Formats: sequence, structure tokens, C-alpha cells
Amino acid sequence: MFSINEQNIAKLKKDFSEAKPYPHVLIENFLPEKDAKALARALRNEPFKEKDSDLFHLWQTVDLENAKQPLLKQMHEFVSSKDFATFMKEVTGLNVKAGVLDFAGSLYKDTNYLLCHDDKVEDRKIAYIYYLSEDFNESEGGALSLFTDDNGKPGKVVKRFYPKWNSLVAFEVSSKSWHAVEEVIGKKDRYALGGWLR
Amino acid sequence: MINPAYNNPAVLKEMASAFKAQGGILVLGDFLDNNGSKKMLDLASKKGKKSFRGDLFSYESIEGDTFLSSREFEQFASSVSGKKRTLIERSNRKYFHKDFTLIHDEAKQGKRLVAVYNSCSKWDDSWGGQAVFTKGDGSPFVFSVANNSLILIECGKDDYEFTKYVNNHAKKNSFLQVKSVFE
Repeated sequence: MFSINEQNIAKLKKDFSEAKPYPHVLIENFLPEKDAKALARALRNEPFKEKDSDLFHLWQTVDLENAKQPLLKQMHEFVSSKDFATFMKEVTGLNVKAGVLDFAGSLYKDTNYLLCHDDKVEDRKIAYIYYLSEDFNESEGGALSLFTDDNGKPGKVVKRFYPKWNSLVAFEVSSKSWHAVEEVIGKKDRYALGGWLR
Repeated sequence: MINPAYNNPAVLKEMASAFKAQGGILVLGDFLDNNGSKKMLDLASKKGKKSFRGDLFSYESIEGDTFLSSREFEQFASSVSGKKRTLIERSNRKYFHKDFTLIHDEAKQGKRLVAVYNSCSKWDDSWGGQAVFTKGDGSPFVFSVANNSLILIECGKDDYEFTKYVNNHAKKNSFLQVKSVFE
């Protein structure tokens, strides 16, 4: 089973509650380096299916409960565990339950994107994305961008998280949690794992 | 204005048959004559006003009437679709890198005939910008960007349309999408 690297919970809790435009947090150095490297390798060996619609063009694995790679199945067990739910509960102050809600790998290649939406589906409370790519910079795109809410519509982008190796971003899901994944530009592929807690 | 090759009774009859046989879809290349195509390219070179709503659309709007909102085109659309048509909506939109429109319930319309005309000096299909039309439960119909091309498509009340995101390979290129909707 995986275990989260020691974190300063009080600081993360403060970061989450004070974040703008809506509660969110960046947790760097999330898992031990060797686990992150092994997960990244497993994810690159997992089959991806192309997904293309008006809202997105990207590549996705099956729900990792059914992953071909045993390590990804173990990661699925970990994010479904009480330990992970307790950690997220401490950081966010939200009363989330153990048990995963859709957990899959994503791959964004050059020109891939996910346009702005709020994620408000079913009873999602927290969305999280765990990055397993080399660090991205502004010219390479791939940022998770967070928008302000302008009377029920997305306003301006006020925060951008460029993928950072072995980091996890979590945010509170609401009808105001407008966000997007900006287009990846160039040859570097953007790999991540993501899911929701309820 | 219409390419003379399309604008005679025998060809109009053939186009009407093709439109019906293809389930209410007709795509025509080289749609306008040289003068008409040049006018559209002139319009495509104008700077528009940015329209942006992150969860719905991003493009430049350009004011002005075009051939697609003329009586002549209304008659053409009526002849091809086999039904008297009346223009109810028109738009001229210029798409650059990062522009798009999304399907949204607010955009839901009734039964309609949609005409989309593209004008551009340079475009590659891999750059995006395709007009995509959902048709019932079947596969969506994709109309790629090509200069001086037109689609006439019959849409039902549950059919939607969107314009695919324009990706970074488009660089600074753009295209003009002129659209008219008829009832």
C-alpha cells in the first residue's frame, strides 16, 4: 500500500481554505519518489483510449479498478482507502467518505485540451489530480487553470498550475469550481491520475 | 454571386435530389463565383470583436450582411431543401487558435436549416475548427474548414452543432465562418 509523504497539514489546510478563486491546494512531493517513478512507468504501459468531443480531446485509461498494471490497481485501492479520505478530510475540512468515484489515468499530447467546466456531477465533493509527468512550463501549456465565477458563469483565469512532478492538486467541487486544462503545446506528454471524492 | 456551375435549374434539381438522398445534407465546394469569394475573403481579413464565455464560446464577431443573408441565398436554400425558407439568425465569426463553441442546452433550437460557409486563405484540417453537427443518435456530421465551401444541413430539435477547438498548429492563421439559420 502507498503512503503519503509527511506533510505540514496545518499549512495545507490554511492554503486550501484561503485559496482563490475557490478552495484548492497544491501538495508537492506527494508520494515517496520511488513510488511515484514506479507509478509513472506503470501508467505509460497502461492502454489509453482517445476521447474527443466538443469539450475535450485527450486520452484516458479505463477506471483503474480494472487496470492492466497491478500497481495502478494498488493506487486505486489507496485512493479508495480510509487513510486517503482521512488525509483529504484533514486538509480540506470537508466531510468526505472513503471510497473512490471514478479514478483514471489521463494523457494529453500536443494539441490536447479540456475546456472550461465546473465538474459538478452527482455528489462530487473534491476533485484531485496527481501529476506523473516531468515539470511543464508556460510555453508547453497543460496548465490546470482556475476561473473566477461571474454570476454563475466562468470569469477570468486567476490561477494556473503547470504540471509538477509528483504533486497533487485538489479542489472543492461546486457550481463555481470553473476550471480547464489548457492545450498541451509541443512534444512533452502530460500524464496524470485523477478522480473525485464524495 | 453563386458559382454559375451551381446556378441553373437542372443542377438545382440534382442538388435537391442529393440533399434529400443524403438525409438533408449537401456540401458544395467553390460555392461562390470569384467576385463573391473575394468579397468573403475581404470580410475574413477584417478585425472582429472578441466574444468569450469560457464554458460556451470564444471567437471574433464581424458585423455586416453577407450573401448568406440575402434573398438570393434564401431562394437557393429553399430550392435545394424543397421548402420555403425564412432567415431567422445569422452570424459572421472569425476563429483563431484557442477559439471554439460548445454544445449547450441554452443553444437548443427547433427544426431548422443551417447554412455554413467558410472563407480562409490557408487552413489544414488538423488545426481544428470543423463545424460538427449531431444528427439524431447517429454519428455526427463533420464539415471541415476549406475556402469557399458551403454546407446546407437540416437539423432537428434535438440536434446540436459546435465548432471544434482550434489548436496551436493553426499559429496565427484564422478562418471566417458565415452562418445563416432558416426555419
